[in-house]
Amino acid sequence: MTTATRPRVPRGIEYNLGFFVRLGLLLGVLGGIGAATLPAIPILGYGLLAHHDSITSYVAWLFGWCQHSELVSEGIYGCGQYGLPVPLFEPAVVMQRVLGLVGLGRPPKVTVDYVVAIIASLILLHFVVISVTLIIYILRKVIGYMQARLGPMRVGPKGILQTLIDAVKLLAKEDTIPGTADKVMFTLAPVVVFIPALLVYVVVPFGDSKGFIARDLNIGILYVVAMSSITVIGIILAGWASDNKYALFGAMRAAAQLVSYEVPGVLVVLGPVIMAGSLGMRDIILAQKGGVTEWFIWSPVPLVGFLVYLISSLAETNITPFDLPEAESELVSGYNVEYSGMKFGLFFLAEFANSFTVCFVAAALFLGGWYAPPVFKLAAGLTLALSVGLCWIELPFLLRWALAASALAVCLGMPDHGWGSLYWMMLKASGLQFLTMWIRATYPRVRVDQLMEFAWKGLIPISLVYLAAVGLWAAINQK
Amino acid sequence: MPKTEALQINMGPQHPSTHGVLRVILQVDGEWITSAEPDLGYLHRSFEKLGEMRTYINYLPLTDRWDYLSAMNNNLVYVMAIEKLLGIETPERCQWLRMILSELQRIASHLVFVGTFGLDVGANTPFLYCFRDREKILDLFEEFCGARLTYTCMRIGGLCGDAPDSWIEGVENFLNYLPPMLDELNALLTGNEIFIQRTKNVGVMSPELAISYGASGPFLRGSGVKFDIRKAQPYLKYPEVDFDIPVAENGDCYDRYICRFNEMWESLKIVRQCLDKLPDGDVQAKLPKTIKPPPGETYTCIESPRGELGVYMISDGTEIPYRLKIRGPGFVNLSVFPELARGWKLADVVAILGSVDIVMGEVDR
Amino acid sequence: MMEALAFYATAALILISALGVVLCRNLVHSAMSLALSFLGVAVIYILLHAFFLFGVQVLIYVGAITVLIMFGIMLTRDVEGNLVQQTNRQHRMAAASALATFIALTYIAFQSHFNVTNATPGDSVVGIGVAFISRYVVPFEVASLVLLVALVGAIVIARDKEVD
Repeated sequence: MTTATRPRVPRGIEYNLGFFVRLGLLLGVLGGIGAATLPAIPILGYGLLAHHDSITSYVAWLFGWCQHSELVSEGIYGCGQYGLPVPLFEPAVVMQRVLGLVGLGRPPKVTVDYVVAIIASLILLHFVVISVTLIIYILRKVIGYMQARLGPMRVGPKGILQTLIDAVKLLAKEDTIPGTADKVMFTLAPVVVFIPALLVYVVVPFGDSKGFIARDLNIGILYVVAMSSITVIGIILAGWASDNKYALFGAMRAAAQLVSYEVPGVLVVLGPVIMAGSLGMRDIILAQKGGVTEWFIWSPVPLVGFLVYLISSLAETNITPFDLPEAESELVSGYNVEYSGMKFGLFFLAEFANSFTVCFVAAALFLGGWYAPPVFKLAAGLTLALSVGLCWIELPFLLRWALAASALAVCLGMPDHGWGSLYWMMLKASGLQFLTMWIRATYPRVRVDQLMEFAWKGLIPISLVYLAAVGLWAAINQK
Repeated sequence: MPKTEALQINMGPQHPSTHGVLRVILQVDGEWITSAEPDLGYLHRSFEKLGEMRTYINYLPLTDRWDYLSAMNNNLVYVMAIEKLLGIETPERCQWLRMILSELQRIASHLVFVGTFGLDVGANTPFLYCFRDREKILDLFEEFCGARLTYTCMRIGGLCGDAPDSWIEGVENFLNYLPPMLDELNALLTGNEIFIQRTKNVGVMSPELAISYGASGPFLRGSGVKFDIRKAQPYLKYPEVDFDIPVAENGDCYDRYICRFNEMWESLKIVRQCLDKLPDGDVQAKLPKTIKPPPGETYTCIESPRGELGVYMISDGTEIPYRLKIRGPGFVNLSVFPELARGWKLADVVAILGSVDIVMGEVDR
Repeated sequence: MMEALAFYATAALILISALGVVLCRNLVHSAMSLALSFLGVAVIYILLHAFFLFGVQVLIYVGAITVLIMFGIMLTRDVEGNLVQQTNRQHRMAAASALATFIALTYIAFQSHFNVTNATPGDSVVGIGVAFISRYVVPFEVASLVLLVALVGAIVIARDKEVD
């Protein structure tokens, strides 16, 4: 074979007014998010100069050794409850630090709550957008490698910018609305699908302190389930508003699939709830303290709950083998057939955000959340080193060495003050996400009636038996 | 009383699953298919008419384009028909080499089938594995005759050239390379629970139905009829080679898939025996200066990967055939499809159509 | 103050979307307004510190009942042409009786004494669960029986006529 020079990719984007408007909106939104969160850096830098006389005391203050800082006093502005760093969400301390740095006094608590809620939601939006971008890229690479090919390689070094450029391409596409379609509902549908995917992140526990979860609602898992059920409305609306009978069929099928698989998902989730005695996400994770044997994947009934939850969440988020609503080789097209441009992009953003959420929830409910095996630091460092090693070829130079250095730092046992819990949570969620990508690459698609049969005749009886077993076990063990 | 009416759905010429430009008009009652009519002709390129306007030699490159996924077999049946009319015997080495090429082509075609059948059912990965393995075969073909898809490799009375020793070695390497790959494909697809659920007991064809329509090839053998032209009306050196014909009993999509998969194993066996028995010698027989077969007619058929590929040729003594009729296996097999699809669900149509394994080039000619 | 503002805003949302349900000409728009009013009621539950009811309201009303209504609309009509006739011959009579009912209800509401308290309920989930098992066990069981009968009835009605 002769090696040809790389062909020049023609630039086919149509630059017109609509494209620039949408691009401007996107940049504005991203810029707004960046503006809201990035000033932390100069503010912290100012804090360094203004209030600390040495790097040590600054770092001590930053990592939450609150008692050494003169900015914090007791009372309603006390330290985080667990003495751990509260970098993100604990309203009072963050706000006070920010405002105290710029010389203001203590604002009223109400304002603090609202301002920090806004910052927290911006941070969540940031996280979702960036993580979905990365997940899509990693999905294409992973599936590519599993299929003996390379995946995206051209755009950016090793194809890293592929998702970004795909988003720009989607913005550039003509935003068609079918002539006889209902314009309001047509535009509303992707919104109704995307917003719950984002809302669920409010209760996802990223790590061990109250600062790592936006709001630890006491109905945590119920909130997750409730938000996931709003998505169905959006899909039906999308199918109906397209004014296309095949899209309507596809939407009905998708809605039937989602509604059917919600039932075993919710039933099985009640297992860990019974074991933990609470609906709150943090409480469920705290109940799994004490080593790998305490994780709910083993303790009442081994593996059944986890597997049923995994399968039903694959069906909830339309991942192969349950991706009938978006299958191209099936006869009846899916609900998003009339959508183009960013509306279509929103559907996919929602799907990937949902799949990542589900991995977090599964890790929290069944895999012990942020609890790590006892040899924590060495294990964390080794896993980091292993993941760095596996990606060595793919990573650019600086990133390789930065990650290797951080692996070394973790191994040497430098204090992490709870950030390690973030790492473990992300590791478990990413591991499950990789598992779903693996399943996606391997299995063929289930037919629609087999899908329904499997849910109603297979998963629901199993989950009912599981729930009964867990309830019995909990009742016996309570004496 | 609510009334349901039948819906007509058009599985149009442009569709990811119709394996070419095939249009199927489906009448659907709820989820059940009441009628499935193929509408052919989108790839009709008048091959039979062109056969009456070109000389025997000039027509040879066009034969590749009948069933473009198994072009070697197309060449083979055409030149065999002419050689029969001329009364020419090809040399030994040529016949053994023709067998090797034909069987390698069979493996390549079945790899495409396995990949695309998996794709129809929703499995994305076996497709790429099959094409990666097929690339090795296409590399061998490129080394032999310079082309990857449309070879014009078999010539009247012989081949386009002899096989160098390096090529023989390449074939040996390939024979050692493929078995683990086939095992991997087996593990990935054949044993997969979801795949079995999608294809088992779907599109069942009784042997009487198949025979009455004139089906042939693995499509027929999946229903339990042990009929293979390589054994029934042998050509080339097939009587001297020892191989089995895979046959299955139920006649559903899964069985047809199994038949074709196992045929790949048998082809590997055949190629190995051919390599062992390959003699030295010439590859081209002596031909007259112009190819003018005496007036007469002949029907020659071979076992192509899709079934019985036949050529009915009438010569009137000139350089141009009087009539060239192509019996395409895909066309005949596709005629059973309406019977097969009736009474199944919408989602099964794609699987059933995939299991017929058609190539529109030979269906429409 | 913020709570009062939140309450009034939510009440306005509920009322406007409820008006939307009855006044919209397009049935699907009505269904979406209904979903919005359900969400508004869920927010009221948050203001009343009944968080479990909030979750359940969203899950059941917005997530399941709205879907049911939309299925009903879409499967019993043409895909286009969902416009509803807004008034019929009895609308004057209907307006009069609605006004009378409204006046009666307002009077009763202003006359009755509501026990208003500032106490916040404790962990509602445990309380509701205990109440289901101890004090309200009969309604609980009867409700689940009703649901079972409905489920069986739906399957019987929807079965294909081709039964062997």
